Amino acid sequence: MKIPQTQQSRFTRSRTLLRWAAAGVTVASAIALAGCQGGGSSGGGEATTVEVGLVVPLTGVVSSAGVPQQEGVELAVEQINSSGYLGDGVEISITEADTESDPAKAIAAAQKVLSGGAVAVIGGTSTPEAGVIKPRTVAANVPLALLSSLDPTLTEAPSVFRSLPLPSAPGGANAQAAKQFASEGVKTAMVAVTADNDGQVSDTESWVTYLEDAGVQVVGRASANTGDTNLTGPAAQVADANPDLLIISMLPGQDAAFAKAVRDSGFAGRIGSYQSLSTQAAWELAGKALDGVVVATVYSPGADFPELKEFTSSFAEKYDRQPNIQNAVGYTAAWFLARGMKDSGDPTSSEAIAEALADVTSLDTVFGPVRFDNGQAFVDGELPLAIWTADGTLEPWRTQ
Amino acid sequence: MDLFLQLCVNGLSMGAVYALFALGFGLLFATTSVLNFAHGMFATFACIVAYATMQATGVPFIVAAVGAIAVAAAMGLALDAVAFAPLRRRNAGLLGPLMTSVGVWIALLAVAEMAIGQDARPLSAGGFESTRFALGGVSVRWLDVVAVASCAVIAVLLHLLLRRSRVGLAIRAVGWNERSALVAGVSSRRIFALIAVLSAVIAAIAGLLDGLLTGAISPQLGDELLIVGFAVAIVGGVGDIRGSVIAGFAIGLIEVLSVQYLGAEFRNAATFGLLLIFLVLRPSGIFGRAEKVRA
Repeated sequence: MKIPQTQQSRFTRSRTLLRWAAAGVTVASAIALAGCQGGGSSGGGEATTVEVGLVVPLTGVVSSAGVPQQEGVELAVEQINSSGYLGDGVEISITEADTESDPAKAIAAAQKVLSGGAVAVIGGTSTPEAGVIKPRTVAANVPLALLSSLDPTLTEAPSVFRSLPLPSAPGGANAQAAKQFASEGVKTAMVAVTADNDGQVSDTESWVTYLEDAGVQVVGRASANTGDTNLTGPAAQVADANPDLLIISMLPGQDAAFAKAVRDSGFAGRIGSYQSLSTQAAWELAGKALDGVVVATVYSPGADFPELKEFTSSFAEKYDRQPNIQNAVGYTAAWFLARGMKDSGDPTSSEAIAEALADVTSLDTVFGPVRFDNGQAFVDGELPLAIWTADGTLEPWRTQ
Repeated sequence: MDLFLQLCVNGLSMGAVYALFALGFGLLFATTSVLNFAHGMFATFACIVAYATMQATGVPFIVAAVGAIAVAAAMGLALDAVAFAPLRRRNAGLLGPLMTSVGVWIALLAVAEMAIGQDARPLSAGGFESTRFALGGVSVRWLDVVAVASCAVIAVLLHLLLRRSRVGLAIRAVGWNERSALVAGVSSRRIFALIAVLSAVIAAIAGLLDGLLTGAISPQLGDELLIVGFAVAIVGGVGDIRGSVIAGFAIGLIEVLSVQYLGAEFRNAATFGLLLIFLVLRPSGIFGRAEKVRA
């Protein structure tokens, strides 16, 4: 029977469409399969590339911490790869994802690196971001090396680690600084905090505890929200209360602006600060308002640690400037992860890396020797605190 | 009591900045029906240009500011010519210009971030921003006085322009009905260009004052002004000069006092709570009158 012309055309078109659809499905499947390769990809059986995700704020209000952390990670990865630290032919490849300083976007950033096959993730510049990245890495059984988020409850070996000793830890930078302030005659204090950031709130609570333990009366609290630039109100509050000491525990950038605002408002007392007020960017913003400000930092550029000297000279050679604490945070996190990869014996296995990291009990870092407890680094003994001078340099602040 | 008065001074100076921003924003919307989400970028770029000029040449702030305001004026003119005028010719309504302004906002924000990065930069008028005098038990910055005076002067000048001049008559005519104004011999093209320049200039002045008052500029400076400025414009009545000034000062005070007595977390809630109340109870603003549209 002869098929009518119109029916023949429809039949032909259908077959053509089916062929194209089949081709499309085949291509899509091939692409999907290629993307689903495990975190360690072997090229030709010779070189092994280990994918590590870096989830940091490269834009937005917290990028002043995220960008330097990325630089620190980059430097560490260069050193790890060029020295063959993980073995012959084994190299780390970093996949970056920008959180845009937005916890909602940090979710997508974390998903991106995890679906790209990362065997480990470095991330969590701020506590809100760390809070949303952690459930995703835990669900994916991928170890997470936190950066500068302050919430002490986030660490949880063998899933989540933090190689930055927290200033709020017992006997840590905050406690030592509080004791020193008390010994220098401080009787009253106020704290200033970024009130909608759990990490800063937690840091502030530790200051209050340590100050009161040292016999200093905390007379009030000034607060601002993330991104607030009009700080004249809280600054006026501090000037009105006129305590002997003001502790600033605010996000990077806001802390320097607040130091300037309180000095402009006429406050002449001592100022102590969370560690983010130790960068050159802070000095450029606040200028001489930082003169005499004590920074409770675990990172002291003048300390005599071999790892610190190596880091400082390598960083200066690569970036033509001196590193700051955020560079050190990223650098240390990357080296800590590499230690886990090396000890694991199988740097392409997330599970092996996580177990190896959980077994790390001590590490020599740019902050000095640290010990680990349930994934969190601690520094014992006297800490290198710092004080700004009038010419914009950070010097060691003598502690008892 | 001294703290309360001090906070009021701080609130009034910040409120002056909000009022200025709302004046420009509202002027543009009332005349052209364009809700310009890129309006904050005029403030941002004025600060960036002033900062970069002082860094590069060492000129005093006032010289850099004049140049920055001129750049903002040019940006306003260019934006209107390139983005909004073609849409007006096509009777694109409200949505077209709004979406266009969002695109422009995103693009300009990226440019601002490339220009100065993400770190906040200091903006200084050679130390003038820190000079103070005592008024009773309150410490007042001279900059606070400049901010409030600038708002007052610009509001008065704008009122005189709109209500006492032929140009103002033409502006109001075009804002009311462009076709009728055309019939009466008014060049709507020139009026729209004038409005674009005026609103950008006012936004630039607001941005520069904001940068000096807070001591820092960032790519997000204009966005913060836009959010609050929008609330001020609605509460005050879009295009209403008296209402914008009063609403600006009111919201500046509410912000500062709510942070002190309720907590920083209530700052935005207080501001936008007020906005919500006005939208529900008096959507035309403090002095606005509801418009009747007859078929």
